[in-house]
Amino acid sequence: MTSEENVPKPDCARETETFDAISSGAWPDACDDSLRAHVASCAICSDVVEVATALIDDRDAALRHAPVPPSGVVWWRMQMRARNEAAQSARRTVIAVQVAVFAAVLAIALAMLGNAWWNKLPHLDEIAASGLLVVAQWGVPLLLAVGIWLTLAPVAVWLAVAKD
Amino acid sequence: MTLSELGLRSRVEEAATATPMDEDAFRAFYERTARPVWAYLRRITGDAQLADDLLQEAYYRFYRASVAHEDESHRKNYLYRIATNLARDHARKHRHGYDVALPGEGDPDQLRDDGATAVRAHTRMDLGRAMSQLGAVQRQMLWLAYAHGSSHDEIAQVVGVNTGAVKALLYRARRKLATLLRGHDLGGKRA
Repeated sequence: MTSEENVPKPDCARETETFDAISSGAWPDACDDSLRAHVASCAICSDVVEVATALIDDRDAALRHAPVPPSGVVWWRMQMRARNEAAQSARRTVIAVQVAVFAAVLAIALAMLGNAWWNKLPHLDEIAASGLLVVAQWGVPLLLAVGIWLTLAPVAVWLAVAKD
Repeated sequence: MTLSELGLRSRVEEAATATPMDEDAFRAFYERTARPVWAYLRRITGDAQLADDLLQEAYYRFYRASVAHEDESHRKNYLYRIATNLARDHARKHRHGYDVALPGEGDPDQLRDDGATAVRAHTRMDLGRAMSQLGAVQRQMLWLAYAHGSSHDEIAQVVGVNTGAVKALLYRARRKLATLLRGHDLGGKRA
């Protein structure tokens, strides 16, 4: 190992030239003597030769034997997948609307039941007498309906936007 | 437009300029790039089967990203960035190790070829073993720099590091791989 190799250097001025010679196939026979002499004495360029020749050989072998599917098949698969995803998204939207409608119907039904139940309570007359008739008749059912809606609507929204 | 500029664009802007590739354009682009991208995925993951799967996913995401209006260089960088991220995500999810293919694996020609081919196959096995001892980012950077011929700027964009850091990271990765390929362990002894 020469003294030059003992000193770590981050780069070398002839590094690009060395790589270009390898990638163009000129290394080692078709490049000039000065580059060969430089590589023999430069740790950086010596590493470049070692690494680049191995990687380029590996790349060339992989390019020859890469088992990639034909472009037509890939295109067809992508179209199928895009359609399936679009259909899935549409289904999610339909389900979200269905849940929202069901929530609204459920809220109205519960509000009506609640209203009927409230009307049968014996203390209704006392509340009505105290000036809270409107609240007594519609306030609680309305709050109930709003509560149910606020609970179920986020579920509907989640179904609409959530991905698998 | 550069890749970094694309990274700064909002989703709204991307959606507004999205132009899906038509079939002819996509197929021509695929024919030009599929093999190099597969080779890249194969070497950074160490798994040919996984490279097959990630290749298809990478092209699908690339297609859905609608970058038909970009130039060829930008499209390639963007595709490599997708492939890199897919490999990284897969490694995180599955804690996937790096497999070392044996000579001839997936390549029947190598089994019946001459001695020179066998030597080259053995060299590739050595490369596989050496690469398995590198970090994922080191494998990505080395492949992009020396097998793909990418510039430091392109490497930074694909791998997701600062351009200024590429030179030092590449130097360390190259030093390590060269040492391993020469048959030395990292302590400096001949294997």
